[in-house]
Amino acid sequence: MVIRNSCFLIVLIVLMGSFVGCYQRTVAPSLTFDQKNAETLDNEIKKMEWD
Amino acid sequence: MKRVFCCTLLFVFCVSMSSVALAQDGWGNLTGQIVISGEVPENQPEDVKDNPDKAVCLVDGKIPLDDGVVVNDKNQLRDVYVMMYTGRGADTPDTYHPSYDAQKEVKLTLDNVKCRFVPKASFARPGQTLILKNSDNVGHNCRIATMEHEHNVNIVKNAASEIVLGEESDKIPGEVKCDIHQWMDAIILIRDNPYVSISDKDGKFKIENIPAGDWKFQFWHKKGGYLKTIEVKGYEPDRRGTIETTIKSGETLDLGTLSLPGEALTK
Amino acid sequence: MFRLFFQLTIISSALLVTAGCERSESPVFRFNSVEWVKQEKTHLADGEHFSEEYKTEIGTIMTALFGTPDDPKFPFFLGDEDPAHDIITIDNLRMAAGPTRVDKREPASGLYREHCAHCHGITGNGAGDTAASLEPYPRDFRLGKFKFKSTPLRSPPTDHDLTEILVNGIPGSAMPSFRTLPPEQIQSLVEYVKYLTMRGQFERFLLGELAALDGEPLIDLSLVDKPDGEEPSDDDIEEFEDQMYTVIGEGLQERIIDRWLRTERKVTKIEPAPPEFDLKHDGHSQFVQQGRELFFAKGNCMQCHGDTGVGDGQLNNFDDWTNDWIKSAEVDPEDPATYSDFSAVGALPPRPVKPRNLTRHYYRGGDHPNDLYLRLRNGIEGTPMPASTAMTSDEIWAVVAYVRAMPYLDSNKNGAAKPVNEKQVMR
Ligand code: HEC
Ligand code: HEC
Repeated sequence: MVIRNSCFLIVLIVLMGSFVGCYQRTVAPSLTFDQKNAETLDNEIKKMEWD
Repeated sequence: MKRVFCCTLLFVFCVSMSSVALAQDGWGNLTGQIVISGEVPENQPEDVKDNPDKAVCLVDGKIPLDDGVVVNDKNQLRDVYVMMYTGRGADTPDTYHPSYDAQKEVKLTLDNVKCRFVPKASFARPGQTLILKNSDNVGHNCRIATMEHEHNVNIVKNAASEIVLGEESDKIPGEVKCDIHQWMDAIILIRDNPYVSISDKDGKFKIENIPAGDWKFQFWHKKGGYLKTIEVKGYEPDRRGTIETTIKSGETLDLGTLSLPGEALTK
Repeated sequence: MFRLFFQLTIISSALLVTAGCERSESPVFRFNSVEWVKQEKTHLADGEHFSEEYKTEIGTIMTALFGTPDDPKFPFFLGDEDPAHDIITIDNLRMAAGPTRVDKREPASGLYREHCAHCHGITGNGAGDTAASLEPYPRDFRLGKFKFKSTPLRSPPTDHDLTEILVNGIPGSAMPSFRTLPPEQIQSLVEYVKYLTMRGQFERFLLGELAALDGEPLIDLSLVDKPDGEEPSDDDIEEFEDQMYTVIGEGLQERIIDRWLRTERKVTKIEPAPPEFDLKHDGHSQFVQQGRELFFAKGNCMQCHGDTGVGDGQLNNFDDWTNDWIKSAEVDPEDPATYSDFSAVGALPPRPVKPRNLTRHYYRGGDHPNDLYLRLRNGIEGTPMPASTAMTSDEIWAVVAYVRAMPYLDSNKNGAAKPVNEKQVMR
């Protein structure tokens, strides 16, 4: 009985913990980018003559 | 001998003055007049709330209206910036007319009168001195924030502070605000290219001594941003509110009456 | 039997919940969506939106120039000769970036994620996990504004300024001191702050260009990167280089990086304090008295800090980090419904900036008299606190002396602070 009750308690605590952990503000979406274009642009930047 | 010298000086002075009025060889002018077509957006009362300085800020005992859109009885529009376009891919002259040299030495005054900035719209050159004046009997602070410049100056009642602007040039006007009286606002353009005119109370603008050549000019208003819907006879303003003009030596290019649909000033 | 089943369900659902709980700070940079929404609200009609393609385009430009949180890059346009090597080194960025490394024998890395990201966010957007519960909010570096520095407004802080902030923390705010870190780690974090700031400033610049573009790309790669391997024409190349010069050359190098390069030269000179500033000087109390008069007259300080200096004057102002977006659309800071579009993309609820309670005698920007001199001489960037331009240096020193001599008031003790120096108020 004691074991079962403490089991319950632990489950409850884990549950609550995960809810608290999940309670987060909305965050801004991640930056999306095009890997291939980023590489092309990187090359173009290196090729350019900056003065 | 002294007198002769003085006379020559006076003569030289007069000649140089008159040359400002009449376009000289190699230089031309641009003029026009801006009028609102259709409905003029209405100005709302300023959001004075229960500011403790209310008493000083009232105009004729009443809460003043916002001066976002100022027109005269003929709907001619004040405070439009007409300026040589210096943005992306634009041609700009290498030298300016010598008459503009003195402009930088003049101290420009920005006053606070009854919790209002006077003038509402101004133009300054980098390095120029600004006198931030306060004619009110309450303290103000003057917060200038443009793309390139930022100042936040304490100005005590009935006093003035001077600041010297930095060397950077802006592309479009920026804001002047007071944190203590948050409804107060004005605009200022700070840039080196002096070919700028702000339309007066009759909507008139005039830019003098522009080098002869092809230049783009831009129309900008605080409420409307780039005035891309302004109608200029014979020109098609682009999405940045610019038109491409040809300034001819010794001539004044008169754009006539430019009409701006009232809706352009509502966003 | 049933009970076991029940318990199992609970456990598995608990596991599911935890698994589905995305950590907000995974190692990717966040897009500046608040600025995006702001640009839409200022430039487009209600309900109109910019094309989503711009988001990817901006992300691509940003990634090409600045890399990712695990693999930071910095655009040294002039190669090894580039003067920016003086202010940023890749080695230092690497030490601060990346995942936190615990192995003590290896050189450190991931310092930023270890020490700063939970407040300032991986992106330096001031929106880490804990941000919403802090007052003031952690700094969003992307505006390029800093409060406590030796340079005037619009000039970035020097390395020395940032180092002081990291070493001393910001008393009276959540920003802790990192005094225990070795100097090379502090330096690496300082450079990483500069990196995140310049990155954020440039992203804002790109977003600011959107409205003017009207559907055209910022940098049109298809001009030079033809699908069938075709050679670009001279016109194409010219157009492309023109775009590169305006967007990257002017927008990033001239407007942003060059300013950081120049900033050491902009440091405000601190005039030495007159002898009366010394507490033991005979004229000191006279000097404090002069400072008190200036506080009310020429300084206009009571307008915000209140007659007794407890910070109860002007209370309805917002700082620039908040004003930046609440001024753009018709946002009423008191009505969350008017800024739900901004909250949806992570904007923190607007909170007024409070003028400091000067009777508590903690100063966020440092309590050395020189620090206070700088605050008064230059104002505090991003806040309403103005520069005392009209005061001579001796007058500023007098006000500093007065501020330091204000009676200590513990406003936490019995409700509102009692204006003990009420009688001194002169109007
Ligand atoms: C517990 C939260 C917290 C942590 C951790 C933290 N900061 Fe801060 N930081 C803040 C807050 C809050 C402010 C804003 C203080 C203010 O506005 O007065 C701030 C401000 C700053 C500023 C701006 C100072 C100025 O002059 O405007 C810098 C730079 C900074 N932090 C860097 C760091 C770095 C680097 C780290 C990691 C080594 C770090 N912070 C860790 C909360 C934090
Ligand atoms: C327009 C309003 C305003 C005026 C006028 C003003 N202040 Fe402030 N002051 C503020 C605000 C707001 C802050 C808090 C800034 C922040 O968030 O860090 C502040 C902060 C300060 C600080 C704290 C600096 C620190 O390092 O923590 C001092 C000291 C100070 N003010 C002194 C003065 C003095 C002296 C004057 C008069 C010469 C003055 N202020 C005038 C608004 C004002």
